[in-house]
Amino acid sequence: MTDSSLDRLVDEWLDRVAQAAADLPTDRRAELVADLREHVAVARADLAVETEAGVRTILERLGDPATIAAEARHGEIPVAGRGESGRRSRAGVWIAVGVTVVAVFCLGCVAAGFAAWSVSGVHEVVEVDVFREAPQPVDVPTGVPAPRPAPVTPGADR
Amino acid sequence: MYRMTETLGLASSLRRGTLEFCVLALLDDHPRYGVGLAQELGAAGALATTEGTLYPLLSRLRRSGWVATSWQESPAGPPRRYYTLTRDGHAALEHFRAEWVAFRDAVDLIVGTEIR
Repeated sequence: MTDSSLDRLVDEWLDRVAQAAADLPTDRRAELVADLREHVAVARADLAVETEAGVRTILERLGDPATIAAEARHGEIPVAGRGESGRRSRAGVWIAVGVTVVAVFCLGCVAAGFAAWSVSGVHEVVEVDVFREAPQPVDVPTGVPAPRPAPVTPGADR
Repeated sequence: MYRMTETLGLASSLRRGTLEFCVLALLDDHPRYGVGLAQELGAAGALATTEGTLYPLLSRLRRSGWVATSWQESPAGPPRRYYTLTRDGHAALEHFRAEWVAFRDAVDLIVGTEIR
């Protein structure tokens, strides 16, 4: 086999890798093929005598294009344990989620408390004063947020 | 019935999570190029599958900033891309070493393989 036919053998194998990795982002696929091409070039230079059997052995040791593509695809999914910075940013996300949950819970408590207060407390003043024009329903069940009393406009009810 | 293929799958899964740290440990000694790394890992029986799967792994290590690369001329053949360990890579390796010892001891204790 001539050098050019050995080159063709390598190119065909690299084409199979590119096809198997067709679903990868273009730059990732190009990088993978370039890395493998470089590996073959270096390994061929290390052969005492370049033979077809030698080149085929290099390709066999590299393995099945589908297996290599699958490994590259595996890298596209965020991998756990990706360094200190990765761990920190994940921790940050969890802290943010926790803080949000606690904040929403507290706001809910405050709102419910206010609703309960406005339902139970404000009615004593209703008849006296503010809600003469638009009285609030007295029978709002506790726990259901009641609308806040409208702001008192001085002189509006006089 | 327990089959040989399951043994192979087990060996492959066990190596998968640790291979990248074996690569970092080899690079901790001195910079290496891809073919050399593949041969050493293969000879040590640390490769999960075939040599070609090493390159997606090296690409990930490069992107996470744990290894850096530089081209060096070779007396024979084309220039070679050498992989070196970065400071982050060294820190990740040290972290793995501590985790690994604790993990290994825990598994040894549970599955009954600890050295008495």
